[in-house]
Amino acid sequence: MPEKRDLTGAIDAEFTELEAADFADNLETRCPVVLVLDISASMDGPAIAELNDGLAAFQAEVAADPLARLRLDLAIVTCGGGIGVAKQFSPIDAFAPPRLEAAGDTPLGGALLTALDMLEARKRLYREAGVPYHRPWLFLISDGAPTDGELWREAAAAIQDGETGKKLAFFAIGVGGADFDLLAQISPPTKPPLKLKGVRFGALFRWLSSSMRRLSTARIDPDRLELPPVDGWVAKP
Amino acid sequence: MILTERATGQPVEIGALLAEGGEGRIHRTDRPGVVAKLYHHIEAAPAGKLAALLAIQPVAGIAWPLALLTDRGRIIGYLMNEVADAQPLTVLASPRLRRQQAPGFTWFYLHAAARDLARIVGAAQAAGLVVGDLKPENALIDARGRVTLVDADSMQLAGHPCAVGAEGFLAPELVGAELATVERTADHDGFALGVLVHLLLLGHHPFAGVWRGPGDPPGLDALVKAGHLPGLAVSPQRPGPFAVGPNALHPALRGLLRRCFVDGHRRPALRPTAAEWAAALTLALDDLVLCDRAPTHFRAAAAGPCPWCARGNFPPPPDPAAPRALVAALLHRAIDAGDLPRQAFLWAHHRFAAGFEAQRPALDELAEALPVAQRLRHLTERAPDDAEAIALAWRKLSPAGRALGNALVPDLTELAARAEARLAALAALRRAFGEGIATPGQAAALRAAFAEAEAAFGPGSRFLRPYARRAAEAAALLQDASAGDFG
Repeated sequence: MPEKRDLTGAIDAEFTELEAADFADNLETRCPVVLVLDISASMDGPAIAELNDGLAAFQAEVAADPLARLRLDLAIVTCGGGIGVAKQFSPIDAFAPPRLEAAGDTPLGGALLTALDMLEARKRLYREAGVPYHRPWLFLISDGAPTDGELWREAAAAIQDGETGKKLAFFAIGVGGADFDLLAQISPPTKPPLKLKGVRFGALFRWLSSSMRRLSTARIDPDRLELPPVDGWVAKP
Repeated sequence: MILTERATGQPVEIGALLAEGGEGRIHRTDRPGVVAKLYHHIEAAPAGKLAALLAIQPVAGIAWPLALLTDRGRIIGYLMNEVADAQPLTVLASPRLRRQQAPGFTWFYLHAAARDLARIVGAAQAAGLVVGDLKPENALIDARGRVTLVDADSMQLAGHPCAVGAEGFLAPELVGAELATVERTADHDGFALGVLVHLLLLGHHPFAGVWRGPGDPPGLDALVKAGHLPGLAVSPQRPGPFAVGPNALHPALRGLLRRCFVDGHRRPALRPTAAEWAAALTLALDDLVLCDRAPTHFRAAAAGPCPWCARGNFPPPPDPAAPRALVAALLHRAIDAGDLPRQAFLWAHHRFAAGFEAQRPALDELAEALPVAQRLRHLTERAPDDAEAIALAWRKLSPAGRALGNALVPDLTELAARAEARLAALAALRRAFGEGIATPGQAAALRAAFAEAEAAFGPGSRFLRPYARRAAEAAALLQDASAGDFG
């Protein structure tokens, strides 16, 4: 045990008030998760309503577990008529699920790059705050093809690198008329994209919340984590 | 769903789901105060281990199996007593969740919970068990800091291994090991117990820090295995900017944490035992006082200033008077028990304005005498031959102070009397030697004074050393003289 604490050596980071509030009373291991949600115009109708309901249920379900509340650090990036950050990283219980509205094009590549940047920045903060963290998880849920040119290639390279180096876990979920060939090129070869059955966002988010609960409460190396079965929402190829 | 209690054949109706874990679920039953653990997969039910647990005396503080449950003849779970009004250690050790869910749970109760946990782990080991999966979610704590360990069916007992462990709670030598085949030991529990005590009292894992090494920071298990404790001079981790360090703790606890994580890192036998943790936590609990500035913060009197004033870890409890009322109750208890040192300590740190009017003069006297009595304890332990210091301190004490001193140091009155006798012998010696050595007649008196002083202090005492040479000269002179008489 240290007899003297060299605080000046430890603090070379400036924390905003919000960040300090996030770490000062919670030094538990964090499990950062980003959802990249495609809310382009094609999602309008029952799909977006299902997605919003799923998100709300997800939040309630995960926040019911004390350890998940301390560990799960969720951010949401949307692409639909531009790239939006529907939720910055913050504790799951302090998050009022947004009502997302479907509109516009699908800047998928840019949205993935935004998510990857946010993850890097978040990891830097964890390190400066002295908070251990698990490998980040990135979920992409999309129903279309990117409208922002070749940006997705850059994102795909970063995702594949991250997966190979065990620095990232990536999941792509295609909805309806999604471009599965392209999603397969973004995904690591070992984890091809999954196809959502109809608009079963409810079942998908139930799976997501039990996966995230397991991820954040199992107290095991995330590599050894067994995820719940996906048969409730995955369409057979 | 209706299941059957195996031993009696009685039906048990399974009610609402209470909790769900990796391997099973906890349900209410139709028996009040009794819950059922049911395994997700019937193959997962450790029937042999459950039977072995039922065959031995239950350990107090562990949610012990009461009876096996069967479904069409196959064991699917067991009954146990419900742990009512308790929250997992996860909630109570986290400043954030504690504020939300248990705002009255002060540092005092965290110490009490840590001690109870150590006691239960010790009792389990005495019964031949190793807890094995000692992690925050398996320790439920009630509002008074009493602990119940759950998941008895994961514990190791002879012939029945514990195949699970939690990240950050596995001893370094277990990280990466195949748990199903490793025999777990009390030293493994000792490591996890140290982590839990640290987590409870300081609110974070002892191996969490700011990574200064190359690349991404390793996970907790890897940090534990490598021994990268933040704050060690050689560690690639520094203490985090938001972490309260071990300096906030009672010195006895700091010492045990060091033994657990530094000395005992590669040498498991050096880790403190559960009994040592319980003893140190008792010392720490008795040393807690209310902070002067915020009388709802408990702090260690033997450590530095209040570590909580600058932080939000312990916001005022719903009843801000509760901590003071608790200390007042402790003081009343000490008065009723005639425990003078405890009365003196508590009164020295908390002069209550009301409630102790009748006892105030006596308490004031005790509190005033406390530093002198403590000095006497220090002297009698560290420098028992320093007659002058002991005698002078003793003379300063009032009769009440002397009673206090005797409560702190067994036989202090006799020790003080011996010190006075030594002091008198020393004074005689000084007087005698003041004259110098001139004649064999004086030499005899010198010799006698030195012999008397030697009898009081024991031979070779450091206090007699300045006189030893001259006493020897005097003795030689006497011998010469007597040789002359008969020569």
